[in-house]
Amino acid sequence: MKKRLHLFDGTVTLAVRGTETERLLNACMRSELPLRNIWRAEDGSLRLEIAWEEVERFEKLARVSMCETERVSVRGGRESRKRLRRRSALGLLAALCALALTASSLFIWEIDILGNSSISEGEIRRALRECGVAEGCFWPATDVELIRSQMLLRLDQLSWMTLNLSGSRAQVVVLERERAPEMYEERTGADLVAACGGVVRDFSVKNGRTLIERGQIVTEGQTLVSAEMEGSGGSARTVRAAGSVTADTWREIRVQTNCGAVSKARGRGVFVTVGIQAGESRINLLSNGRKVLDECDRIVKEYKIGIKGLFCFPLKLVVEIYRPYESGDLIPADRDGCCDRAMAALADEIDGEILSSASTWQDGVLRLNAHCLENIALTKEIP
Amino acid sequence: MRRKAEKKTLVPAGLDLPGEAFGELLITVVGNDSVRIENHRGIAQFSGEYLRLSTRGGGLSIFGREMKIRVLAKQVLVVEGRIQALEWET
Repeated sequence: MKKRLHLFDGTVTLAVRGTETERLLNACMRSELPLRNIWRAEDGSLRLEIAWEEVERFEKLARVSMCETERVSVRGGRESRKRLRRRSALGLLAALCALALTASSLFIWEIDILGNSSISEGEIRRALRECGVAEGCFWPATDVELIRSQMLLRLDQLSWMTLNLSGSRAQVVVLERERAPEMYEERTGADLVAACGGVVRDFSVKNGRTLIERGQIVTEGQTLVSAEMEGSGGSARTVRAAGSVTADTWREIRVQTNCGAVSKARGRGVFVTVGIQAGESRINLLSNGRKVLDECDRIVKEYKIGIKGLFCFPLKLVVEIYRPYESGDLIPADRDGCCDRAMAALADEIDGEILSSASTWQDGVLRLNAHCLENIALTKEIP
Repeated sequence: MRRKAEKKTLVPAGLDLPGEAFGELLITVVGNDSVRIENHRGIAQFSGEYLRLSTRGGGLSIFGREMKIRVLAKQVLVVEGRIQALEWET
């Protein structure tokens, strides 16, 4: 620490030659002139370090002690400031950079969104933009509580959110709303009806009066378990029917697909454009040829300039790569993939399993017929 | 003379005071690469291998290698380097 302080003040290294150098050292000691790092050099001279402002006093004492002094080097303090004065442009540039950095830290250049799963990041960013939070906005003027309230009003899917501002970085943390469980009044009557038609294979009734038998064919909407039951003393009572009815069902799904995709063969050459983007404006720095706009793939890569997690400059390096291609033959649609996706969607929809399936294609339309074993009981409240 | 010398040690010893407060030489050695000397009376000779100091009781010689005086202030001296020996001269 002392070393750094001495450097800040300015230190001069002197070489002292003479027969009575020790006498000079004692004279400095008596005069309370502090000396540092005194050593004997190979040429026999005495080297020492002294503070800048004490040099004249030391040279006077050296003359009295009949010693010769020579300034070997000067470091820190005044010397550095002298050099800086000669290079005023450098100092000015450094000051301007520091000012630009300070000023840019008052604006948001990076927005991170955390905690979202069903809501897309784009949707949240759009809502933030409407509330006044976007890249390039002045964050000290931001009212976090107000933005929070506005965001919760705009996006119903959110139950909680917060906005953390740190320099030029804004972190948005959201918590999505969970669907409330279905609530019903236990005393209200409800029947169990068939969600779709099929053949009853098995049933398990916890409450209500069963109206079906195993092997019976039921249609969609038909009452399977009734809420009306006989009470004690012959009177009727209404209950909430509960249970499950497993039945064989036959489902049909129709999916319209496209004819296929056009095959692409790589063309000649790759064109690259490099530019710096500041906000909405862009300055192109490098381009190695004419951009082919008719048939080409355009790949855009953006690189933010800054230190991740700490601060971010309002500049982005944008690299655009244009790869030309030539159109080829038509590739038919991926039928197997389409069929698999349709089966997966059906499996998600039913409360059971798919026993077998068959698919046909006609004019780009997939028809999927599936034999399923599922629970077809659906609760229907009695008005 | 002898009585005067004895009196000089009697006062601090009698009052249980530290001798360095009365100008006695104080040497602090840290490892074998640093020596701090207080209450000396000046440098008689100095080189990279040999340092001779004047003290109240005579002379003190320090032998070593690549020695340098880190700090030289009024009556305080700090020597650094590879210290090999300290020798009293009475």
